[in-house]
Amino acid sequence: MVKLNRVKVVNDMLSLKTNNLSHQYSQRVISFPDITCAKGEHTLLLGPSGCGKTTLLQLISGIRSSQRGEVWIGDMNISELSQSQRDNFRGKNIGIIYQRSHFVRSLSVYENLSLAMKLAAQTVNKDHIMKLLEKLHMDGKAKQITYTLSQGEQQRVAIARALVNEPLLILADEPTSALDDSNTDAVFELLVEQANEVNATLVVVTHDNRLKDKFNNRIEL
Amino acid sequence: MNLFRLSWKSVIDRPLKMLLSLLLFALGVGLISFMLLMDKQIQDNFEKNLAGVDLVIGAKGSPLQMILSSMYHIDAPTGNIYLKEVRPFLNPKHPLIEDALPLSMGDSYRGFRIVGTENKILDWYGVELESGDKWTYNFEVTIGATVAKTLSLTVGDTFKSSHGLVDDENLEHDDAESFVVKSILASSGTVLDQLILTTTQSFWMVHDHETVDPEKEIEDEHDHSGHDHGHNHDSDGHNHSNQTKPLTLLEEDQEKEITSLLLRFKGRSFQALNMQRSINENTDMQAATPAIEINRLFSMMSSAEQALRILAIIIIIVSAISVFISLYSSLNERKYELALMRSMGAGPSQVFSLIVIEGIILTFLGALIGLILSHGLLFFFAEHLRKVYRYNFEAWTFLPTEGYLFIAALVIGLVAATIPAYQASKTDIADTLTNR
Repeated sequence: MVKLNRVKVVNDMLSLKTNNLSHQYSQRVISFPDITCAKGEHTLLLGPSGCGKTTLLQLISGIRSSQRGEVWIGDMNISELSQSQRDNFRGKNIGIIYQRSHFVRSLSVYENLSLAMKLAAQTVNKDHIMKLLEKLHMDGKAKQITYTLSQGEQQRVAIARALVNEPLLILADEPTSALDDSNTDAVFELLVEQANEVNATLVVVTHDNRLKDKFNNRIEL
Repeated sequence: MNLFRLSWKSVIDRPLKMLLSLLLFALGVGLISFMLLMDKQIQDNFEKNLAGVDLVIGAKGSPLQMILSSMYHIDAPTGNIYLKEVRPFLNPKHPLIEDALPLSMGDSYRGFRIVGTENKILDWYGVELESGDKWTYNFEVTIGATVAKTLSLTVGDTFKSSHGLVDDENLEHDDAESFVVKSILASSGTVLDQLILTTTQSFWMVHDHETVDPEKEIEDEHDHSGHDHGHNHDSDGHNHSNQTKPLTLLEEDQEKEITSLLLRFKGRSFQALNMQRSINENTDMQAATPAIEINRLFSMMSSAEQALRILAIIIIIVSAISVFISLYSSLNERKYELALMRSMGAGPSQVFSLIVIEGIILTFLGALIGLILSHGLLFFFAEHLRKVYRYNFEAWTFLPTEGYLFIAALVIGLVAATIPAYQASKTDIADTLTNR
């Protein structure tokens, strides 16, 4: 049984590494370049639609299992984990932000965040959640049902949800493509700022050129 | 935010979709619970009122009708019988009969039956007096607890009876004497709760009075005024009928009538059985055994009950299917939400539990509403049922079988939710999250 406690990376400065990753869909095989990210380093994966960006993120997060290759997060090879072990690992160590935010419809902003903690088997900490919402200027809307929020507000809550468990790795799939320019800047800055705060590695996948210049680390797919 | 609360929130987030399955389930459970309640209480009623009666003797007619009218005061009596015919059974030295209780019926007061009988009826039914003394003289009555409560009668109150067993002011015995409430019975759950008890002779006097020739009545009054000084009529008008203790039925005019006679045997013997047959064959009366007639009644009712029970079970099955469909169809719109929860660390088993709990919440609520419905219905109709069955129905007592009904409801919820839950736990989260 693999121990699933939160991976503490002390000496090892790598937080994400992929080896020979490829995925076969019914008609074609997509191969991905190896990615290596140091702890706290932010990386932009750039590529046109349909090149498999989302697939790559899913392979990294363990939502999709890889047929070939390996994904290391910290000192854990997640390709070797069973499905429920991967679910568990992901809940604790990976925060994911999607292009369009989706929430549990019947729950409020606060409840969605506390659910994220609960599902990751963390103790729900109200202060922690409220502080996080405060930082994202969403504390006034904690009790609101998520689908009543604006796009920009929803994306802030999605960021809060990705951060709530203080993950090792934050994966963002087209986080800004549904937003206008000013919101794009704000959301991006927030993302980087919050990732830095918890010393997390940020991997952003996008075809949005507005984000291109903001990263030192860029990988073209 | 535990799984249960999450399931609960999901259920109430789609109230309209869940309402149909909920109401269907409530209907099925309510129907079954109502039948169980009625069944139990009617059986209790019949059993409580057996009062150790081995044989009932009355006028020829339907034996069941005779039993229902004499033992439970539900149906109309079959007719009257002459004292001379039952004389042998009243004899305290009868070798087979331990005791005999005469009943005279046919009058009522505001829907409650007046029964002419003897004090020992209280011992037969094991009922105690709440207040006052037993009726001794004619036109004295002892009233049941429900009678006292419903009509707000207390000791010392008076009323006039009316002819027949229905509440009809036109049938009031206007010119007969008034009855005086002497005592009130403690509530016992037996039919005595619903009765007004008096002497057998009071019955005769009420009816004799009516057949009296008006001319003779005037003559009577003349007569009375002539003897005024001796009888002290002015201060106590009922003096001459009330204050003489009634005779025993053996001493009475044997051409008088009673309605029926309840018998207790010394032991159930061959002769006792023969006696029933002999009465039926050789006299103008009939004899019937309460236990046998009541069993006959129950077996007649049971086929109707069976049909209702099947109907209720069909409703429950349909509602289980409806729970299944509403959960299953909700999966499609919640697919993304469930995949999202998986991506946040929920394992397949947690998603499975989530849907199963939703199913159980639905059937739990359905069962709860069903039980409230059935007990509420009983509460609502208790007064009407009391009049029909002469029995106080308890609306808020819960049966152990209802507990089983509840458990069965939860199991049905679990079963109905299993397939949707399995489906939900097997959904490919990657594909779901990609096809947004």
